[in-house]
Amino acid sequence: MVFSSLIFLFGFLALHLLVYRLAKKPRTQNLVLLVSSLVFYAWGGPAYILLLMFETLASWFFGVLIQTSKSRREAKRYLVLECLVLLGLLAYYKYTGFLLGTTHALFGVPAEVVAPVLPIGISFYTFKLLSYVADVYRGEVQAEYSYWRLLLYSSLFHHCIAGPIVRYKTVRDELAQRSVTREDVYEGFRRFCVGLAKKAILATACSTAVDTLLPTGTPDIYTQVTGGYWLGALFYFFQIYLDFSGYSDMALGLGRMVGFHYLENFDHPYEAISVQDFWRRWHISLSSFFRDYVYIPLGGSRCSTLQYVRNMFVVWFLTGMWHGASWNFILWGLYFFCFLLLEKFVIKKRMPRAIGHVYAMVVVFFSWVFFKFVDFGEMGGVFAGLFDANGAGFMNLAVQTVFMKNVFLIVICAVACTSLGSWLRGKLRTAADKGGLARFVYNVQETLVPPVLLALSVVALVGVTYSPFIYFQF
Amino acid sequence: MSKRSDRQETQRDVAEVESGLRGRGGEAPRRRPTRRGDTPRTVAPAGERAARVARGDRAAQGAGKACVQVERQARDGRAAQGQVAARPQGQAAAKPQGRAAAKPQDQAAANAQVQTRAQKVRHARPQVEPAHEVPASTPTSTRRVHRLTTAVTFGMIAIGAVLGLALFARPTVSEAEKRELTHFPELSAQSVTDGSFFSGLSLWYSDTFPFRDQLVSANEAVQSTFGVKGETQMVGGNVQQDDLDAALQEEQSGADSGDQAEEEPQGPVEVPDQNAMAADMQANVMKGLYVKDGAAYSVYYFVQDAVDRYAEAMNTCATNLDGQAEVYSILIPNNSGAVLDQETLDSLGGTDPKKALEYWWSKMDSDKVHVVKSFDNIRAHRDEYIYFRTDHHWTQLGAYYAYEEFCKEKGVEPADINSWELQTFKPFLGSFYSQLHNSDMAANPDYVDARIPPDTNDMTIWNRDGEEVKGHVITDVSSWNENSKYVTFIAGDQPLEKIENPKKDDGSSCLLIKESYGDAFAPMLVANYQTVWIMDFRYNDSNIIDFVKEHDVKDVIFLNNMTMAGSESVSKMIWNKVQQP
Repeated sequence: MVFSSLIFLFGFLALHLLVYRLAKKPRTQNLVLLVSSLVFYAWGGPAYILLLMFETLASWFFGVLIQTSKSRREAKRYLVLECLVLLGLLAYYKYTGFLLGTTHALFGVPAEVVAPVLPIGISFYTFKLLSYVADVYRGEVQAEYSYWRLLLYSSLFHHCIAGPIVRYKTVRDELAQRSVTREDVYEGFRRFCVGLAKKAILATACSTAVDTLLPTGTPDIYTQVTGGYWLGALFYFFQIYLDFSGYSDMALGLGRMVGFHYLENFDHPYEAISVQDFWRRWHISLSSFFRDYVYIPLGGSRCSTLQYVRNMFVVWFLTGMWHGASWNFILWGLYFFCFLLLEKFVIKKRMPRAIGHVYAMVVVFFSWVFFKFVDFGEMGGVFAGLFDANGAGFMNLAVQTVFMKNVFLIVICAVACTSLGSWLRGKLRTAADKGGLARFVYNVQETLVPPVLLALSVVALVGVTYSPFIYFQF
Repeated sequence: MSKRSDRQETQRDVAEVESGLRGRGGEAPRRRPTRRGDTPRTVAPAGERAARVARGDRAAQGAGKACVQVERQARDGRAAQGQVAARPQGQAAAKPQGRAAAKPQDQAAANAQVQTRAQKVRHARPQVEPAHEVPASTPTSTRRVHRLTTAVTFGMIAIGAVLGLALFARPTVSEAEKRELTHFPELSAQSVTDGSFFSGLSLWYSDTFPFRDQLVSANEAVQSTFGVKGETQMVGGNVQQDDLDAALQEEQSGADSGDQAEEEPQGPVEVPDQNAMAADMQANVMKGLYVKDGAAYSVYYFVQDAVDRYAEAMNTCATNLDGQAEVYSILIPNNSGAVLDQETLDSLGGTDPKKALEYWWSKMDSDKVHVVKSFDNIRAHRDEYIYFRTDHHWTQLGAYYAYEEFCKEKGVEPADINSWELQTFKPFLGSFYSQLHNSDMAANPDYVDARIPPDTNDMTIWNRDGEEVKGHVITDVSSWNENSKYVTFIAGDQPLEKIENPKKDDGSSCLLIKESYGDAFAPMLVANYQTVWIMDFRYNDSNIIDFVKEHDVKDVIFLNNMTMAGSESVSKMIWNKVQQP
């Protein structure tokens, strides 16, 4: 089940919130959450719920063992075992096809690449559980003695399937006891509606434009005009942020509604002033995971330059690989690695903010081309087209039509990517203290934003299933 | 309030919370040191709260109950201190809560920053401030507004849930989309375990949501605000096409048709099933649409394989029917080729239809096949209403000009259809409108002029259910849906139809093999033949050679639109049907 679907909104969420409200005691509430989460997960793939439960069991088991271990060495052994089990399973499900495909391309074996089906959310919950056990090992958090509570943590539908990668220590206390105020519920709903609108309205509209302009998987991808490639890349630039951050917004909103306070996963990344700044704002839960559990243990930056470069390489290789089991993702990760090194050793914070911002946006803009095209032939074709090297000309009526039809959408998306909305809200809020018109405007805005966005999103969610059978009487 | 008592209170509160964890067995919980990346827990000891109430904090006073809240905020170390400094000035984080007040009072009390903790937090990089938090001293009006909005939003979700459950209100067919909507998925052990039941359920739920058509229109209204409509538009158009000039050169450089033979398939070829073919045809017509002034024009793209195969099929048919019947081939241009001026047509990026037709005709053996070159006659009348603006079909007037050429080729007089009874059906918003929902089209819809053959308006239909029914050549469709008006012509696309003209007894008969373009053309044949057979090759499995011999048909007329005939699926299907059975 995805958040941006009618069955989630009107089927699952309505029922879940209703039942949750009826549950008064924390234990019942947690039970409701657990059952809801398991149902939610099973919806997408019933067979793999056992895998999730097994991995949670392993993590619970090793967590307890580490907690009660008598020596550091023993604890380390358990940690290693945990990593082997979880990462092994992740490697099997996610990367078998990738590895076999690579060896097939290089050496011709195996003749046929058969890959297992990827269980939903495995990348996310594997990392969540790993972070839990690693934190227990480091003494940052007490081991969870209740398997069911740990399962609740790993399977909680807010963040199980699409992040953020919530650390156990962030929610540990709230798992036990949550307190929800009316403000929390409002903020949660509001956040959820904003995320839903970003995803269902803006990201979907952008993706339609991207599919028109950059038709992957067809030979037409090579024959688009230059303007079409640029416009398509721009829509994808917006789409991927609005999609992903919309999802995170929904997760945070859902959590807030019931009293969880997850950490922010996005901080207006398209306002970054350098690539390093970008990665402090984009998918924060992932980059902090790699920082805390890979980069720092390897030595981070407190070591020789060579080791530092090695550490960075490992982290960015893994970051790329985490996003997808395909070489283009790894290339994408290493692309950022190069720019981060450039910033560390060459630019060294000498860039003024404005230029840095433009530079960062250009770098990120092109990075999405690596990200989107799994097939290197297509990727090459798109790069060629971006620089007018495919002989198709610069602009044509079809691309102009797409642009004209979406010109305001581009503006809306650009604004949605900035912090203008929340800045305005903050300003209004401060002004509202003085009462009068400002307070009225602020209140009106507070009233209207969630329901209006929800209504528009519902309309968009129905609209997306429109597929006319025009060839009746063709 | 000393810092020490702060800490003691905090420790006690935290311990109480932690004792709530099960399975402790009395073990002292290990203190969790805060680390970089951790969010400081904010817990206010009771003393602090009392102090704030004493200070006259409005918010704290406003409640009458103890405020209970555990509020987490990720902060930058500096910001935390700044915040903490601001706090004593009356910005209490404690909020009076109706609902939360009922929550356990025994645990962590109203919040405040725990300064010591915050200072201990090591931040290598700034923590992220969550998007605008509502500070404590929220005006009551705003609080009320929040309550109202929460209720409204939840109410909306509840209404949606109820609607979703109203199974009786779920549509099964979409008028606007002309299709059956998704069925409820089949429930079986298999479908549950592999997840297809659930994904089918999600799809069914969205696809058949009550008031779907209205919601879809609402969505279109929203999407129309995303941009402006240009004066002219091109939808699609990034289409691969074969090089016609190269093909022409190849043709002219002397290779006779014998050489081409080894490239063509000799026997039946594989064709896609009906639905795939229909989807393919739709895609072909819609892949490049030029839109101007509320009219859409489908652009033609040359596909050499298909063109060659279709031409070869005509030759084969004529060979196989040698002595039995005459074969006529009528290829019709798209509305772009028929109506647009040459300059615009050239700028659209498609293949020049006239040139393509010249090539096509040259591939047919004119000794065996009667090639009806209707393009020029149609185009000569391009200022008249010969093609629809909102639909890819031609009007009966456009079909008449092709009919004139056919009669010329056959050597008979074309019927004077202006003397026939006229029925007009309006408004008509056809396939282009369904595809594009262009508002100019809606404002200026088409109309269908249908001329009824005076000799007879009756027809026998063998429909897709296999039944033999009676129908009309021109059906009264005034009450039909506005995008179905073209179906007035010979009841649309049926597997097989037969019109017998009682006023003729010369034994003349013809078989019209067509897709939907033939519909507007067929009524006029009634004037020239005693028996008119009409076969839509997409829905009829018969072999054409067999059929012609069985029914002793004298004229076989292939009437096809260029794009459709020049598509892989159609050309293959026709090829199969003209083989010797």
